[in-house]
Amino acid sequence: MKKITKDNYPAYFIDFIEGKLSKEEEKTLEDFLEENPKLKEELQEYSPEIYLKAEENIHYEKKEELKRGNIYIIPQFIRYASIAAAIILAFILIKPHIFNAKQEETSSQKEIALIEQKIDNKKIVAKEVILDKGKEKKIIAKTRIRKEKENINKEKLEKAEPLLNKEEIVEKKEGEKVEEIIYKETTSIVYYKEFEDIDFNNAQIVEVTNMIVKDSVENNKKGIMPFEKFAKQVKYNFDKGKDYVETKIEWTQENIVDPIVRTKDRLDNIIYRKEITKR
Amino acid sequence: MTDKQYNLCVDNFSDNILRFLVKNLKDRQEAEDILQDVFLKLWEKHKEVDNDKVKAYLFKAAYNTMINTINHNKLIDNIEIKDTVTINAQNAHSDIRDILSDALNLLSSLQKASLLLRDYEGYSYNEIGQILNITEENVKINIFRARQKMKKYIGSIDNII
Repeated sequence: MKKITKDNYPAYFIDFIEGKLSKEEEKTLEDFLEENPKLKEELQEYSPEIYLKAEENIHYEKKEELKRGNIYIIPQFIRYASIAAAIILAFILIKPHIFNAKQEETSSQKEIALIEQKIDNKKIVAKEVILDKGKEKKIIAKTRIRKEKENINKEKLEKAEPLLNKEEIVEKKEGEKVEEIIYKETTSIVYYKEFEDIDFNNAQIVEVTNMIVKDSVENNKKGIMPFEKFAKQVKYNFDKGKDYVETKIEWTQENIVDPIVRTKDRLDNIIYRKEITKR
Repeated sequence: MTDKQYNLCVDNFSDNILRFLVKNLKDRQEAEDILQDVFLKLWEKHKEVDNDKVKAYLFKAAYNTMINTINHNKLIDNIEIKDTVTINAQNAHSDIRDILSDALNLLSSLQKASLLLRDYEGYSYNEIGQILNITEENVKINIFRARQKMKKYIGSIDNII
């Protein structure tokens, strides 16, 4: 033990009280106290009995918050920083979403524009713009169908034998830009409007409504209508085509015989076609 | 120490640390804030901390953080003012716990911490020295001075027994 001095004597006092001094150290202490009688009084007055008893009523109630797994300790100095960090983090996280959303929107619009352009190139008007990618497939499918139709039409047109000059057989109303193509089939004469200006969003409807059916005498006898034949073809390409044709189109035997075919589109616009004189 | 040991440590020692801080600071909210800081520090380093020494680690961290907080908030001056007030009002106390609690306020931070660790936690002088980063001899001196001051404040041990 260090030499006892006026600075460290309390340590000696404690060891003395607790009986931890050797006899030699006790002798050293006694000598020291003889030389410093005031300190001897200090020792005599010291009360090791003054003892603090732990206050058992003090408990930390949020232990679970300190534990790992659900540890969300927020030190005081971090609290304010965390608020700022949260704002920055939110900005960082949200900004890309906004940016991406804009990009996606732009991308989507471009794709739509491209589709529209393709359709325009084929002279198909898509009035209902596709607003999401889910519908994209649909319009592409329609485009594909359109190509199939074109192929069919071209094939038919190549095989068709025009009976009349277009100008002679089509009566165009003022302002109407309808171009009708005439070709001959073996059992019937079908006049139908080419799909150049068809609204494919209402394809099942428009395609039919714009079709002009003129049955031939031969078909009437056979009871096979070119319209139905065509409707089957429509169904092949458009899932609901035939159903719609069968249920919605207002046509009767009389319509077919009658020079005027009256049909109705989805918007209930009555479309009249003047019969083209059969040759 | 493992994650599991850390969680056990929370269960076993958070109350002790809180008591130590509350008695030192006389401010429950401040004490809880420091407690959370201490356990956060422990969690960050828990894999490096020896489980057998974690209690001392916690007290040491608590004490150091507390001192930093006191210095930062300049609470030392306030505590000294409180001491004067307490002394003047000592006769109004009747509860022994209140008297001892007020007497505790007379002590310096080091004296108070030494005494609390000794009496509350039963640490040896050597352990207290390690926690408070002082020599064993200084711990004894602090504790001696602390009890001396408290006795002087109380007047006589008979007054509170």
